Amino acid sequence: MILEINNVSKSFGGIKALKNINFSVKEGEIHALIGPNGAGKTTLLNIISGIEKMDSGDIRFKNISIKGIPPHKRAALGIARTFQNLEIFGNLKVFENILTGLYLKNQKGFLKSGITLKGIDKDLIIQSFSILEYVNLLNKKDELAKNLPVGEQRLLELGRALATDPHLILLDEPAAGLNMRETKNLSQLIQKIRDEKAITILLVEHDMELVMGISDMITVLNFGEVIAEGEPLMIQKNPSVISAYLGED
Amino acid sequence: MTLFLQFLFAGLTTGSVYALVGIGFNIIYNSTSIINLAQGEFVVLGGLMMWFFLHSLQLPFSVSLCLTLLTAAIIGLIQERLTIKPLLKKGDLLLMIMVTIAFSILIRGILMFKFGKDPYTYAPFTEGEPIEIFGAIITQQTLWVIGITALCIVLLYLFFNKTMTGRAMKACSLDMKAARLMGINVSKVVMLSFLISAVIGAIGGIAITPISLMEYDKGAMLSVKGFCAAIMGGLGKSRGAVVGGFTLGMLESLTAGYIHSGLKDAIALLIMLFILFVKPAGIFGKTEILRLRKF
Amino acid sequence: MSKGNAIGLFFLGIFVIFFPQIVTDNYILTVGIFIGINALVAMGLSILMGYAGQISLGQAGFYGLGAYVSAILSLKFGLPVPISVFISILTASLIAVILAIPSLRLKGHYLAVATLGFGEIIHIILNEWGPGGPSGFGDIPPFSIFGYTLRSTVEYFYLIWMFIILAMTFSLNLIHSLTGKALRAIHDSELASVTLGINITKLKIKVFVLSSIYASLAGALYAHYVTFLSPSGFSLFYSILILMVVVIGGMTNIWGAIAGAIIITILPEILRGFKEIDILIYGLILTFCLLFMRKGIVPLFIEIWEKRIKK
Repeated sequence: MILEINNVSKSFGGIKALKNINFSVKEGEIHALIGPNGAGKTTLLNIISGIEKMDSGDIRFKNISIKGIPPHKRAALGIARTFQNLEIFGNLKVFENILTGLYLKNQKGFLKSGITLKGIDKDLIIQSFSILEYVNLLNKKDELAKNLPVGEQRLLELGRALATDPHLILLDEPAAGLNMRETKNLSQLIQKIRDEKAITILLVEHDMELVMGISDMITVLNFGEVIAEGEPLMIQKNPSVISAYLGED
Repeated sequence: MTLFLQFLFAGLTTGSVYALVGIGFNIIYNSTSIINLAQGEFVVLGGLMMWFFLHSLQLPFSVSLCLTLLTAAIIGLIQERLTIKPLLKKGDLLLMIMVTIAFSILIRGILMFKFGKDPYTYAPFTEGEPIEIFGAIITQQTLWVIGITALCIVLLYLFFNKTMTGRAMKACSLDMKAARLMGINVSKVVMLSFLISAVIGAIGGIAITPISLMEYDKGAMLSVKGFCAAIMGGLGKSRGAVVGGFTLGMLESLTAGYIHSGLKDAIALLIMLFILFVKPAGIFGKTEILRLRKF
Repeated sequence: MSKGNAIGLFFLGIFVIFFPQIVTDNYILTVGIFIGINALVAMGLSILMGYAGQISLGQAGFYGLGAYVSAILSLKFGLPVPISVFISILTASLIAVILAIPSLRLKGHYLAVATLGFGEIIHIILNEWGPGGPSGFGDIPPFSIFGYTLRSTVEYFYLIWMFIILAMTFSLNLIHSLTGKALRAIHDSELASVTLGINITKLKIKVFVLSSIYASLAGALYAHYVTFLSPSGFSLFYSILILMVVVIGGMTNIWGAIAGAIIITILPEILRGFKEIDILIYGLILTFCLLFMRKGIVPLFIEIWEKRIKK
């Protein structure tokens, strides 16, 4: 188990967003986290990546408790993520966005950067290009990130996350705003990341076709509680999942 | 004891102005999250314009008062329409801070052009014997300043709690998005908040000028002290700014009286740094609120 | 460093070397020295604003600290000037760290207000306890190194612009490194930056300290050049003036610090006859720039230049 969520609870001003959440993510799998709006999925991702604090419970990553560890250190441990409301660096060029991901493992330090004349190593630039190629953005490398369409911004966030050389990537609704063709490419890309790079993926997504198509395991949240867990086929037949989704409509 | 009381009343007087500036900060902060560093300039504007109408144009007191408040309101409006409105959408906090600084220099520049570097003053509102309390001498103007401040606080309280417009502004400060969805005209709220802040700043200036002289470059320090008052009570809480303003005024006056007059200004700054470092939510505020605003 | 910047630095170097040979007018050289001093202070603020997205309203404090500490150490304690300069920088950066740690943990305007408070406190301290109080003190030893004492305006021109070129080199290297990209990332999205493993608080503190180093170095050089100090030059207004330099020059480009410094330093020389409206003019310029020319001169020129090339 690469990630273990143990009894995690969180409330916002009296409203319980998460109630004693328990589940684990197996290494090398695509694990989907689904549920109706307001089920607490994004809150949970925020807690795992450390940008929100949980009220109680524990999270273990690679058998180490990461409770209380600040977000930038969690990234160093190997947790990367993307954002539902795109957080790309709009004023940086596309390949520079990737470079910010490479910063984590390749930075030289403040003083040394100031006295090194030749700037960023050629190797790193090449590395950023190959990551862009991996996410199909190489032809856009010199554009300002804010000028990309939403679909490509999502790919860029994914590429930037990959650049940190993570063991686990948290994807927050990567298919939101994507058309059918883009979604299909994305699902292939996510599978490729799992298979070729052996990176574990925790996926929050509303597109059920995508989720059912690529997930190895699914956890269903509703009103801050885990209501079901299992492989896609089992989840599809689970009555409480069906009622949770039907109840929403 | 007499001396102590004397200092205390002096502190209450200057504290009143800090409280008014502090409230101004809060009103604008609540509607826009901006720290309006031009806030103190309106106090100077109030004092100097009042002098202008009273002595240069020889107008009666009540007319001068109205015209001064009108001038402040117009300048406040100009600030909002000209410099805040076009930039607010960008959501760039850095830019917003800079543009309030720019406007403060603009006001200061105009005031210096018009009034030069001399200090100005005019007669107290009422003539009469000072009152003596336990040997401490309190001028009538001191009572005016404190009374006017109290009146402002009461009126603002009524406005924010009893009128529709005031409630709409309050709703905005709690949740801008929700307020907009409820059909509240946020742009109007922002405009009003600048207008009100400008006017209450000017009121402070009008009231204090007969006691402590007014000169064109006092605004920056008044802004800092008003801000200090505001964060003492927790940024965004007007009742806090009142307590903060009076506390700061008294601390200052006691420092000047018992320790060293040159350190008077340093007290506010030290308190401000202390609060920012140790208890950024203010002495009376809760840290929780600040955390929520962070993300 | 990119090729364009390297060429730019090269030409700046050439220009600095030959300028005093061609223009021998002492007045112009003196203005040149003050441009350099202001540019050095502005350079630090430019990185802080344009790259770390933070604002300081207390650069005058560091500038004053650098000037007074170095002056007092060399005058009253007889320390050699280079050592007193070094200690003054050390003092300023130490205070910068103390100031930055709490205020940078908070978001938004807190550094602005904390630095404003700090700057004013330094101003009050200099007024109350500085040698000579508000009227200041003189007889500060001139800059000397290895037994050689700098006396002429030309020598100081070279000294100060040598430091500018060194600081420029360091800054440009930094900006074009991976760390520079991380800094710009912080400016765009702090949230995404932390999840990429960027320690934003630490980076911001480092940039803030760098800005205090530039400001205090400029202050120290100023002290040993004019050999007379009074607190009036280290008030909030100087901090705002430096802010104007950065805004006018363009905070997203370090060269903006030099361009802005040229304008802001020469302006009062032109306005000499209009003493009563100078603040008004500063206010108008700053407001105008923020409303209509947010990018600043240098980035604007580069944009126009690139468009012309594309045609």
